[in-house]
Amino acid sequence: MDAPDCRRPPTPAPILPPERWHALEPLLDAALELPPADRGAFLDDACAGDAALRAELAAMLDECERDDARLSRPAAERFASLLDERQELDHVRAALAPHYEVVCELGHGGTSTVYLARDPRHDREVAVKVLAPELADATNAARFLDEIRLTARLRHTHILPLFDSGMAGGRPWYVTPYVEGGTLRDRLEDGGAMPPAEVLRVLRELASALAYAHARGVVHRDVKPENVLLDVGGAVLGDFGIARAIERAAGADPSAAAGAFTAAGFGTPAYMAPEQRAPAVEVDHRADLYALGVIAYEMLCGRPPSGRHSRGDARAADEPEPSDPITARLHAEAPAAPHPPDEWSAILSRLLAERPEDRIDSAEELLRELDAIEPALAAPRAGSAGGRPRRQGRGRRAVLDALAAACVLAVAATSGLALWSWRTTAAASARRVLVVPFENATGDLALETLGRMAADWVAQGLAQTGAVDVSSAPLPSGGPRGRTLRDLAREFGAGTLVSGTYYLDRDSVRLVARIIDVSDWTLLHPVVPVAAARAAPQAVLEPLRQRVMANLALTHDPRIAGWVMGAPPPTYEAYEQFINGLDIFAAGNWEGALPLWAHAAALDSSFVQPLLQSVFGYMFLGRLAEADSLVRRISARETLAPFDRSMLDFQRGQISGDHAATLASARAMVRATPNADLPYYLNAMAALHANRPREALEAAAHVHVRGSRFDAPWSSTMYWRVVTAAHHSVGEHEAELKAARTARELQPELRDIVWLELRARAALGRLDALDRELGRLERLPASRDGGSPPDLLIRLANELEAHGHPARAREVLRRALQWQRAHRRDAERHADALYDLARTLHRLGDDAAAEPLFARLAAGHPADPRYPAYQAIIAARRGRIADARRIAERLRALRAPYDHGLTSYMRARIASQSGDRSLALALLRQALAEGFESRTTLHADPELAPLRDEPGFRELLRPEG
Amino acid sequence: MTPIPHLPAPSARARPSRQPPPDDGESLAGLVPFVYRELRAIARRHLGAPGGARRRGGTLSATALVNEAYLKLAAAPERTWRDRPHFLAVAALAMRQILVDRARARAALKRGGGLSRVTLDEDALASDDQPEALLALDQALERLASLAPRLARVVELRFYGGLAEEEIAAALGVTTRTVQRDWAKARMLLRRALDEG
Repeated sequence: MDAPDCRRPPTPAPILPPERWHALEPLLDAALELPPADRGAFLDDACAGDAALRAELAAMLDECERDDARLSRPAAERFASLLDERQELDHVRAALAPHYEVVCELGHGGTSTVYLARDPRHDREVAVKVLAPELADATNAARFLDEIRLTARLRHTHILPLFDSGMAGGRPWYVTPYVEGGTLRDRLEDGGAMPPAEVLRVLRELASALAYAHARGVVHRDVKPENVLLDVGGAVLGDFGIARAIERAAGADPSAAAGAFTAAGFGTPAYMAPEQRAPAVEVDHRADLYALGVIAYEMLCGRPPSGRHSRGDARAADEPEPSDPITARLHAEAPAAPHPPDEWSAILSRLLAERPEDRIDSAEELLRELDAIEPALAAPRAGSAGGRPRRQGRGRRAVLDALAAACVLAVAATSGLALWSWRTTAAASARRVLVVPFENATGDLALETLGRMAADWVAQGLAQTGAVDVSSAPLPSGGPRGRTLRDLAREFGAGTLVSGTYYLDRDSVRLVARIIDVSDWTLLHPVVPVAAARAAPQAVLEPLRQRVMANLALTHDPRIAGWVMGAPPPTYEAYEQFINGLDIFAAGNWEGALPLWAHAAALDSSFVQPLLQSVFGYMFLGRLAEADSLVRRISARETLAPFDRSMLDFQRGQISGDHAATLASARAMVRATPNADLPYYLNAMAALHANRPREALEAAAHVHVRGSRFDAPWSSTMYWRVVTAAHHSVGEHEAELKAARTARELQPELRDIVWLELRARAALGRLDALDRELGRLERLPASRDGGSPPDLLIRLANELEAHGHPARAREVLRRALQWQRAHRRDAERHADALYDLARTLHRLGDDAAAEPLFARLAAGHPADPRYPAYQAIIAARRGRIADARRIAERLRALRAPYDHGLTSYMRARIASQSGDRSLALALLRQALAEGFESRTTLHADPELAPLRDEPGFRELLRPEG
Repeated sequence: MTPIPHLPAPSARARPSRQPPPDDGESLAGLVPFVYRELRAIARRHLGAPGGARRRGGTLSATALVNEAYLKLAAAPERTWRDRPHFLAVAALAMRQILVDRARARAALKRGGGLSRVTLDEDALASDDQPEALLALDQALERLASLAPRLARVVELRFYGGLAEEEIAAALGVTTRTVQRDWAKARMLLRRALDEG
């Protein structure tokens, strides 16, 4: 759309003669400023006996005060029916019936409105383009149809064919295949610059299309990203000959045509060759080549060329063309902006030449030039301009993943499907299936969730078969998709992609799934559409899943077919609440997710996932009593899917501190969904707690950590904690260090991850540049449950001491003290900070200073066993054994529900410091049996140092598997 | 004892900073297409989605429409408005454009025949006059603009943009009282233009 004035009729007759109005207006203004009662006198005075003038003014004043129904309500309200495009859709639908069943509007451009329709004769989806009324007014419809029929003869893989054409309501329409991949414009807007190899492919395809058409004397004249469709088979050039058809059909009235062209945004200036902007110049095929040059530039740099090559600056045509290559010139114009890679320089300069005769002469020649630069592109250089956009792309994905991250457990929810996995060696395997949310083409935001639900349902079904490797991924942010789906599939190393679209067909929702072979981007299976009532759209899910699985069974593995699923899909509203909860959860608002899940469960009492999810929510929040009570409620259900049952057992084991039961249920989850990441992670964690670090490592190796939900900060941290701790407890410190460094590569900005590396280095005695690393650790952001800097420093000192570096340990402790002095106010305000300070002083041997701090903490928090425990430890160390034993005895009474061995562990430390070694060992065994999880820290615990030579202690720490 | 460590959610990245305000040469009209699309999408959503109808009782509020567009577009990094009044002025222009386009499209469909709708439904008949009514109004507004441009701007902002008097005053740089007077005069002149036929 251009300025509105360009399509208004010429200035009409004025309402009043202007000079008359200019004489009257000041008088009206003056009168209007007066109270109505005083206006008569004013008019008498102002008109000075001119009765006609007075009468006219009086009438006008009267009218000024009168309301007018036509203007009393804002236009958008009064004319709301005009804005209601469903009515227009009805008109178009009626006009095209029965040959085409219009489904929905797909888009609206300057020249036309595009509708998705079904062609019942051929049982296919088509796009119907109806010419914009502005253009319809200005063109001779019959001539237009004649013209586009000429282009209907074009047959080429990369030219969008014309199926049909006709007239509806005075407006010409034409029918083309429906291409779901979106346009190149969508792709550019979404992903910015494209990788050079892809640019080369698209250019080749477009050049071959142009070569074919030009050889038949057809010039496109409106090549632009909006007209390039990205189909599964490659780029397809649409709207061939439409520009010419409109121009010729409007030939009788050139000014009308010009107006129509401007109004419609035809001949988009940025893509118009200089000669196209000049009036009355016959353009030839070289105008298309110029436009292709602009598109090439834009694909490489993410934006059209700037400066003189921008937006059709007509003056540019008169200026001499500088001889230096375009890239050099652009460097000079805007050194900071992205530039096309050097290999492209010559081709771009020649395509974008101002004079047609300086341009590459034909599309065939362009194809030859592209062949010539291909080898250079095949060997990418570090730091080339082409690399930049890809990094941006990764950044975008990282953000998406981060957003999706907290759903790791959600995962569990829909049994494993959100268990996003990733094959590190991304060899595209057909057996690796990527499922993406289906696209909502209904135009109804209330149906938005159905797309995710459909993807989840399919992924869940596939994951349970164990026959294929399933990943799910969020769509590239919003809008039309397809443009980056191929990239996404490649990133995931997926050889097969399941995607789809759903749209409204009267009162039902129709959902079309597509199974695509990523290697050649062809349709592997068209899945027969499924439909359900709009009011209960979830009914499409089970038939959809069955159909997708039946199709994949044909090409992938017969076991996929006929897999019997557990519970039926939840109701749509319930699922929507559930998924909203997941999003909130992912954003870190665990408290906020709980009511949504409760609501979801209330909406559909058979929907168990929100409840399981809530259990994790409560566990995250440390509200174990509520988690426990919810587990009991869920357990009372009669029917639970095997995976859900295992997950519930896992949660029950966690809450009660039963390591063996937790491990058994984690193993059962792995068996239930053998290709999902989350069960493997849970298996690893449970194995570590159950003193089976080797099993933990083996299970952890199945978790995909790159590109999956496990590469978000918090999920990544939890994963690497398990892996490094497992290596640490089997004494494989080189492997531990390697894992910690991988973790740090993935998450360089996390305090906890830096600590993991330092622990490995402490064990190995590699303590070079320790200060620098400690400085980094102190500066990096804290994580919600991660340690404070002093806490991490104390734990590092423990490791250093245990691994034979007592001097470095003291250094680190002094550093902790220094940090606390710099943050003195923290200790005054927060018990945790005071606790850190007291422990640091204690570890440095300053018990005289530490003891009153622990006493203060114990007095302030009488239910917390940790503070009296330290009082007892200090008492024991200072020889007051009887005091220590008395406090230890009192601790028994402090054992709270869900204590998980904490009190027994504290008593074990007191006993150890009091010289009661056998009691200490017995209490440690008890702590572990009660669910104490930090077994891997025991070997370095300074309070347990007296036990280190005890055979029983070593036995306790020896891995069982 | 939680199975998963408590890590904070990744902090939202800072928004890209907005470009400096457009220079004075930047015309309102140049910004219209962008707002046009957005307003149309919002209108479609309000009117088209059953959820939308449920939420809003099936009616359309011009003020809500424009405000929603503002919320959506105010943060758009690539477009800038000098300020809210500037945006509202653009939105009014865009809304006028949308309605005129729609009215023309609808009128063309009716002219085209082939869609002989037989109905005795009074409401349907009444609403079928809408394209012509709007086009007549718009033409009257054109005539008003040729006589008294500021009065036409006031009508555009109030009638098409749904702006309040204060907002119009801010957009045009005049007092609220002047806006009130202009509106009264404009209403009178428009009535004359419309009644002339």
